[in-house]
Amino acid sequence: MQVPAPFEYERATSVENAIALRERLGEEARFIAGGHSLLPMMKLRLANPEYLIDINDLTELFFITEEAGEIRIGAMTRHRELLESELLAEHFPIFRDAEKVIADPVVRNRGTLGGSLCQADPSEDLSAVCAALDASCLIKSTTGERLVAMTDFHVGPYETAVGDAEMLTEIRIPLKANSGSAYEKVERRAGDWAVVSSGAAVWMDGDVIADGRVGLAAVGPNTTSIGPVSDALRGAAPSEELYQQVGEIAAANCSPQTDQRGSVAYKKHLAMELTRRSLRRAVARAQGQEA
Amino acid sequence: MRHSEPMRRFVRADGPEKVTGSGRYTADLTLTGQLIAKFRYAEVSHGRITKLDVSAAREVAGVLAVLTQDDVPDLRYGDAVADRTLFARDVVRFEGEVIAAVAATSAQAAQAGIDAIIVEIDELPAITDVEEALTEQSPLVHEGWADYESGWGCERNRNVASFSSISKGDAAAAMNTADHVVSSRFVADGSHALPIEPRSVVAQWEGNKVTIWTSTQVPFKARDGVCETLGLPSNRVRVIVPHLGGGFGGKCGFHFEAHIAALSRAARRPVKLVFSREEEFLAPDRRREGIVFEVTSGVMDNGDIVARTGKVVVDNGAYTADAGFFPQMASMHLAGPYKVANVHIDAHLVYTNHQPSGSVRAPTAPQACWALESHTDELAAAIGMDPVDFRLRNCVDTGDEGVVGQTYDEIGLIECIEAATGAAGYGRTELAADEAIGVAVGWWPSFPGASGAYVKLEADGSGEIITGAQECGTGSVMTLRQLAADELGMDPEDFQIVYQDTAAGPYDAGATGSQTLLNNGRAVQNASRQIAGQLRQMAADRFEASPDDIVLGDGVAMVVGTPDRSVPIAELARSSMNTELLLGHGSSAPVDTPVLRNSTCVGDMGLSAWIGPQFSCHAVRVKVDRDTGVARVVSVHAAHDSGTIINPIAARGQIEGGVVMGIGQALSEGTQYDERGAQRNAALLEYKLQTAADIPPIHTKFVEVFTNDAGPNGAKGVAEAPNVATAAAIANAISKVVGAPVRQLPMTAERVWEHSVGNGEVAS
Repeated sequence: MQVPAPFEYERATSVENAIALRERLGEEARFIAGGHSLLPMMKLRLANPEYLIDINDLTELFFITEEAGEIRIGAMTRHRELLESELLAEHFPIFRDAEKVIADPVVRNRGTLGGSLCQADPSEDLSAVCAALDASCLIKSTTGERLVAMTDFHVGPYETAVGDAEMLTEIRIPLKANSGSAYEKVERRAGDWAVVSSGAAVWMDGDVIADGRVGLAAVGPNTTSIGPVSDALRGAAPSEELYQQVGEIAAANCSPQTDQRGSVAYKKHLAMELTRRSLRRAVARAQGQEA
Repeated sequence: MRHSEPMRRFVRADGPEKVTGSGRYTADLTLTGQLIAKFRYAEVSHGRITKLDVSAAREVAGVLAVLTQDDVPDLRYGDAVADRTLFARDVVRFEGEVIAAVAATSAQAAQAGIDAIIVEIDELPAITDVEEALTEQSPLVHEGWADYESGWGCERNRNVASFSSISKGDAAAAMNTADHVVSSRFVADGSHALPIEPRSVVAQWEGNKVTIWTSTQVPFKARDGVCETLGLPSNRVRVIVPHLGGGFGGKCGFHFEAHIAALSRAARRPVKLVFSREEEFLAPDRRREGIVFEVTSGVMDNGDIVARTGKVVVDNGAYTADAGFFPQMASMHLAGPYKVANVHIDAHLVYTNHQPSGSVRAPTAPQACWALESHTDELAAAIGMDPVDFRLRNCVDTGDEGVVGQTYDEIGLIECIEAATGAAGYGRTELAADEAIGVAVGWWPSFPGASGAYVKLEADGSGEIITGAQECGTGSVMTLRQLAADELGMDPEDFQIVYQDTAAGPYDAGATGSQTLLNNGRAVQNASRQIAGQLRQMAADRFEASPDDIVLGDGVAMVVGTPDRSVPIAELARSSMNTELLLGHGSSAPVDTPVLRNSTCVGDMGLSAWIGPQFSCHAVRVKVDRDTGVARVVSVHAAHDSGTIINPIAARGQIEGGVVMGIGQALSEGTQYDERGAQRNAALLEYKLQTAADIPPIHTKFVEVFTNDAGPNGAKGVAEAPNVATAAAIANAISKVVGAPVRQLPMTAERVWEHSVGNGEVAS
């Protein structure tokens, strides 16, 4: 049945108000941001919240700024803003790469960064992007706030570190010199969920990679940041052999399932191939070879 | 001629309603006292019903009717093969088969009633492999097949619901003389028509008459199905189609109208059914068939094809619906529009426990064209000839004899090939190593048949066309205004159309077989000519002239060459109130099929010789990422001989829609089954339609050839032909990039990648 179960609805007036409502209403309450994941789940009765707390009026969560050596992005920032932001394009072109292949304009006008991360779908592109960029998540409650690294943010499929009385308010990405980033995705048609995608970010020190990260999407849980990949990249000089080797590490460290998007063999191959490509482009960008 | 004036302005009569949302669809209707219907489905692909108890359902609050096969006349129906009952009796043969129906005061109550029905089924092994089902050892889908009637005279045996063959010359002997013999095998998955409007039916009885509003493409067929299964005369069943939200063949045939009419009669209340998307995927008997093709051709070094043999195995699914003619159609398409002197093709329509197949836009043709045209590129490669040159050498032209010995009148296939490849820059364009232009030719018959219309002019001079024709979104019914206006010297906007109501208009076959404008267009022309004759006589009387000297144009009747002796048509219409009303009626008639020579066709059902055959060539530029298998269509150039083009804007829309559907079939659309024969991707999340963002520029060129014995002004059909050659052309482009044909349809990225790896083509 394409109709949600009955629910109560409140429109939050501030972050504090939203968190207070959430604390009072408890685990049966859900924040609704863009609604492009939650509403379909409610219509399919996969989610049956008793209360929806609408946070679309919280303009204090709509921002992309450079501050204290970080790029800070409000949780309610829409996909479209991420796509169009010149500040992000300058520092982290991976965002524009990814946003070009996320859904369609109607969804991008409405869906949010915070909503994407909190949905914690293993196929979610922005989770892979944020993991590659070594982002942190600012989580607030009535008693204070805490900063959680992306590697600790997702605790399982559709599960995050955000507690029942907490709210993700901001994503912070460190600004470090000589960085490059890129995103590669294979999808079954334009704007679809990934069959596999790979996001890569590197930070160069002269001719070697000082640090690098790869986040994969749609190849199983906990693939948004792969430790052995970073181990292999650190201190290495970029080369086609390195991209191939790291691609193979990425493929070996993911655990896709055979489903209608593809077989395990195909997905592992894509994890390798797309990691190779995203690394190659990330390094090229870090070296100023590609805008 | 007026009709071919370029880009004549075309305002769809239904356009403003559809665009603004004021138009009403079946699901928008609500009648006083209306109940909601729901179905209980088999949910298993094959099994024996051991218990069916609806007594608890009848006690559910709000439930006013529960029906099973025990509650309706116990007869089998089906035009091709009478192999079906309204509700399953004893055996279920596909997962979407209806076992029982409930009508209740709300959707929730209806669902509660459905849930209260006790069904116990002993599951039987599902017969899902169409080639295994063809063997003598296979269990039967229909144990009682031999007792079934076939209204179409289908050649049947065990799991074969219909067999056809084409035989001409001596294919085996000629094959032995060939310089090269190439054999190919191709497997096409089934797919769906997928109209965006899931179907809906509303039924209401008044006395002993029932009115049924339904989203069908074929209102008269739906009416006849109700009459047959419920035992009613035609004039007590009225079928009305509000706006139809797409069909693509999926809403051809009689489906659920009788179930809802029977519920309504039992409950003594109006009853409404609205399908969910999942039901729209699983329950209708009109999905596009999966097919296995084997084809072998013998070619000479000079490029002549001297022999062709083939075997076609079509997945019929559990019931035959209208698929009885599919073996013939698939055979014709595997033979192709080529001059081959020696041919033998066998084609089998085989029962399985899949959802039944039926006429989806150009049934069997996109798959067979994909197989044949992939094979044709292999033939050209075998002798080192360019594939376009190879086609130009072998394909039929005006005066040539085709594969079943039919001699073609003026046709434009050669011009189509030249137009499409020329516009695409084939052979002249620099292409990157990962790009190629693939070329394929296609064909499709026109289906002349009986069809009727009335035309009348009211006293104020406004006109009305009352037609049996059905508009399924193509614009063909909307184009009827143009034909009436041309005959009467009026503007298309002077006419309103009353359509898709079996009690108002005369018979028409419906939005099926590309036949609407072809047949109903002639009926409207004939009806309009009667009124034109009346108007000429009235003007002739007024001006003391001969009716032959009266011309109708720009809204006036005028003595030829003398503008001062003219009278507005509206004035004549007003005076008709004092004389004879301006009423015309018209009918189109079937025409004789062409003569076949030197060939035999078993089980051909009249479809081996084609009246007004349409031809096409698509040249498609494709970019293939060999390391991921992702193929992207860069541009499509489509050239079509559909005879005279009556309405260029609407015809172009048909080409573009057909091409888009073809791209989906080529790359992303295909039904996946589990081992028990259940569909795994019966949802839009997993069944991948193409969207606007996937679609490349589509360039259309019409090769206008005047065709005798076809539609109005020499027109042929145009709705299905555009769907035929696109997937084939894409396949040939992919094959060029990865080194050999991808032998499965759809050619998904994973399949292209597997293939690319298999051919050792992966870049380091």
